[in-house]
Amino acid sequence: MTDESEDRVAEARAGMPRWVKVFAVIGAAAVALLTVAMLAGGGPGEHGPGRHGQGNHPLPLPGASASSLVAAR
Amino acid sequence: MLGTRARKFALTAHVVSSVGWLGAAGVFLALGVVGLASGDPEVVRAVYLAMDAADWAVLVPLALASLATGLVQSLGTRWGLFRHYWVVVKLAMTILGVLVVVLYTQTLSYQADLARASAGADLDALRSASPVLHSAIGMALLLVAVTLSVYKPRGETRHGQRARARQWISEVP
Repeated sequence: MTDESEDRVAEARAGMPRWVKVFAVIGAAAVALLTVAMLAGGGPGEHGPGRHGQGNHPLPLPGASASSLVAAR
Repeated sequence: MLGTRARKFALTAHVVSSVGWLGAAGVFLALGVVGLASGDPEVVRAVYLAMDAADWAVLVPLALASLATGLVQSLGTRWGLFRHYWVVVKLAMTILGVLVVVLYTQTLSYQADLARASAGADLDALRSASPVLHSAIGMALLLVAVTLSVYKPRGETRHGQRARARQWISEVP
């Protein structure tokens, strides 16, 4: 058996590499964090158009009436 | 499987679009920082208008091209799409990046509308750290993806092991 074949057999027997497990944990944590952030933000949050009254975008858009701004709060 | 010339063309397209995407994210990061730091109202408004325009003209096309050419590269070569962990991880990261880029167009359009309507208004109400945050995270993601592409860390999925076993069996005389 050549060295390369032995390496391939060893790789096949090794299962999921540690670096993949680390990436999976980080990825799962990031998705969980994003989900919590979006739920805490009340829906699309910062990933959609800013909602009036959520602190980031207090300026009204052109054509927005005062009553529509109050209703959105 | 792709022929040699087609494979090299696909690889070139993938590298250009992926690294271009990384560069565009860097430009957005710089613009975001200028938007936060500049004291000139015209500059701050211009930053958010520029990001909105560049988003659709550059960032979204490059992100979609990177995903599409990556799929062609995977499916048209021996690497496959689900045979090696580095390809699977890179695919997941690219899909996540494309989703964020596409969804974020809404926020950038909204900020551009605010910039157009904000003549004479308080600049602090217009500034946002969101583009800086999203660009920085995007760049980190893309740097990791590029690193995976170059180093190709070892690790075959079960699907890859089964595919290789079938290939060995078919090659046995």
